[in-house]
Order: sequence, then structure tokens, then C-alpha cells
Amino acid sequence: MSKEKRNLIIAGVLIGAVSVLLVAFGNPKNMGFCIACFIRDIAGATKMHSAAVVQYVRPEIIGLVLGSWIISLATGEFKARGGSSPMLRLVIGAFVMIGALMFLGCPFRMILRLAGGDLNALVALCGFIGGIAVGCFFLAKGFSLGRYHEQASLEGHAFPAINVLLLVLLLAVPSVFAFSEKGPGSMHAAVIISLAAGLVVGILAQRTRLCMVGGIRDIILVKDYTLIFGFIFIFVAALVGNLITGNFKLGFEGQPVAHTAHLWNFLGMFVVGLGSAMLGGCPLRQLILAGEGNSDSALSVVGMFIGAAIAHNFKLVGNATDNGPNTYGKVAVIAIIVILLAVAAAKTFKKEK
Amino acid sequence: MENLSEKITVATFFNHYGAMRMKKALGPDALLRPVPRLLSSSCGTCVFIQRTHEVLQEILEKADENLEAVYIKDGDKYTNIWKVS
Repeated sequence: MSKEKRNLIIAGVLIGAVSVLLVAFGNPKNMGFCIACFIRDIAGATKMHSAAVVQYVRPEIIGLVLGSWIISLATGEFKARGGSSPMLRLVIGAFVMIGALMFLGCPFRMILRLAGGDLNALVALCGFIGGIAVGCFFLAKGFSLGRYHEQASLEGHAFPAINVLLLVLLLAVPSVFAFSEKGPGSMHAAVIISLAAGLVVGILAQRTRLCMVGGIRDIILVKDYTLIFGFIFIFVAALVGNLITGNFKLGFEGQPVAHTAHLWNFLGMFVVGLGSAMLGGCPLRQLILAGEGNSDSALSVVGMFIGAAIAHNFKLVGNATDNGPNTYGKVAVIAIIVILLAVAAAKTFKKEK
Repeated sequence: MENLSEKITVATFFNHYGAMRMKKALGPDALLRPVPRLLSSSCGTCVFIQRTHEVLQEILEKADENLEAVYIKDGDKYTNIWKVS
């Protein structure tokens, strides 16, 4: 077994275990980690949207970025770079978020939902793989958002610095934020535990390049099974952890923070798969790359933040209590699929220089 | 899979398409592989070429603007022999 594969297995097991522990310490069920949900919660806490049940400054997100920042600085891998279609990446980031909030989870939470027995996540996984497969079709035909260039180091430090500021404000003057009093936003582990979990997972993800999209993409494009091991072992560890802690419940109905509108779970994650393949990584990977100095990835995260506000302000999200999306959400997801395909085609079949 | 005891050439690219085109241009002894972790914290596609003799010249002749760097791989050790400016 290669060293890379071994490290991914170790990281996967640790990350799966940390995810289960976060639920034990207070996070919502099957939501030890959810990049989409947590960015959405931060958007709520900073009053970008006013959905009262999803407002909290999630230290996990801050930890992920700072973990990647610290370890990449320590190993000399931090490199400020960007300039690869930044505006398109921001828009695609927003689309990925709207797709994820249709399903109610990013690819990371999709694995954790699967490990909790939520079969709706299996439907979503099919959509996710479908989206990545379509993305791979374009990649193989020449899709590219253009090459990055090295940038002044401050450009790369800006995004991690914003996260430091967010952490300082959370610790020093939490009253500037809005915090949920009920619902998922009110359920969270202690700040120090969430932050530590984020730091650990951020470091592991940076060292192993763990990516929920990359694993499936590599199988399709180059028949390489290395990256998928991270994905599989997060699932295995979280499944075992959920069985031990009694949080495993097999079925479609009554799952935590979920709905059973199959078509929309499928299409929501189709958007996430396709958009993430175009961005070159899942939402978790974008956070890690942003921590390493990639300003394009930082902008895709900013796009996700804006997308979360749009999704809640314009009521596009899959609703866990009303069992699925409303018409606005459905129209948005269909429109996003059409736009993503058009952008992918435009950036694939462009005239060669 | 490559023989780890032999030296091979590894070319990295800014995007997957660049790697694919190079593989096609170089023929059957070129393989598409994920970029080794030792080379990069990015997870793109690279090309492994099962030889080192005069490969760099061939790569540079056939390269487009997507070529990022070329390395010689000797076991677990990578030596950079060309990098885009």
C-alpha cells in the first residue's frame, strides 16, 4: 500500500471519529461537520440572512482554514496564488452552496448522513456522482478555468486573517453576532472543542489533500483509487461511531435535518458535484486551499457565503420541516444546472489559441 | 504501475486537459496519474513517462501553455529539471 493511501486511511478514520465526537459534544445529528451548513450558519450569525434557526459562528470552519494555514506555513507549502477566473469561481461557489442547501448538506455531511443511516443521502450520492461524471466529461474535453499565477503573499493571507478576526470577535465580543436560540444553529459543541476539531481536520486534510470530489474524479478520469480512501474511511469510522453512540437510524423518514424529496436531493447534489468538479474540489477542499494561500478558492468560499444568504433570503433551501423545497428552490436549482452546463461548455469548447 | 527502481520522468500541468494532450502526444509509455503528494499540495493530473533519456526536450517540443514543471523521479525522490517561468 502506498504511503499516500495509508495516510488517507488514517486521516479518514480520525476525521470520521472527530465528526461523531462533535455530535456527542453538542452538534446537530449527522452534522459533526458540514461545510455548507456551517458557512450558512456564519452567514446567519453575521446577519447576512435572517433565518433564526441557523445562526452561529461555527469555529470548525475557522479551525479548518487556520489549520491549513498553519501547517502549510510550517511546511513551506503556503503559496499565494490566484487569477484563475476569480469571478466565475465566486459564482460557481454560490451555486454549489444553493445546491448543497437544497439537499441540506455538503459532500462531507452527505457521508456523515449516510453513516447515520439516512438513505436520502444515498439518493444524493447518486446525484453527486452524476454531477462529477458530467464535470469529468467537460474536463476530458478541455474544460479549464485558466491557470493560476503567483501573487503577493498578502493576497494569500487575507482570507485566513479574516478567519482570525472572526475568532477574535467570537471570543471577545460575541454580542455583535446573531445566535440561534433554537434549531440546528443553537446546537453546538463548546467553542474550544469545535475549534480544536477544525484545526485537526484542517491539518489532516491539507496533508492528505482529502477531497470528496477528487476521489470520484480520479476514478473516472485516471482510474486511480487513492483519494477515494479518505471518503470511504470517514464513512466507516463515522458508521462505527454512530453505532456505538446509538445515533444510527436506517431509513428515509424522520432523519435529522433532512427531507425526503428524492428528486431534489438528487439534483441538489448533482449541482454540488458538477460545480465542485469545475472548481477542482469540494467545499472542504476549497477551505483548505484558501488556507494555503489560494485566493481563487478563497473567493469560491466567499461565493458560498453569498450563496447561503441568497438561499435563505429568497427561500431556495430544502425545508426539513415542510419536507422539501418550494417552487423558488426548484426553479433555482434547474436554472443553476442549465447555467453551469452553459459555462462548462463555453470554457470547454472555446477556440484554441 | 511504474517500476519504482527505475528512473522515470514526471510532467505536471495547470489543468487536466494539458496532461491528457501530453499523454496523447507522447504515446504508449506515458501514463496519466494523480500528481504525487510529494510534488504538490494540489490534486491535479500529471503524466508519468517510463524513461528519462531526451524526454525533457520531447516534452518541451510538444508542450502547450498548460505545462507547469518536469521532474525526474528516482524511487521516492523527485528532482526538478524544468519549471514554467
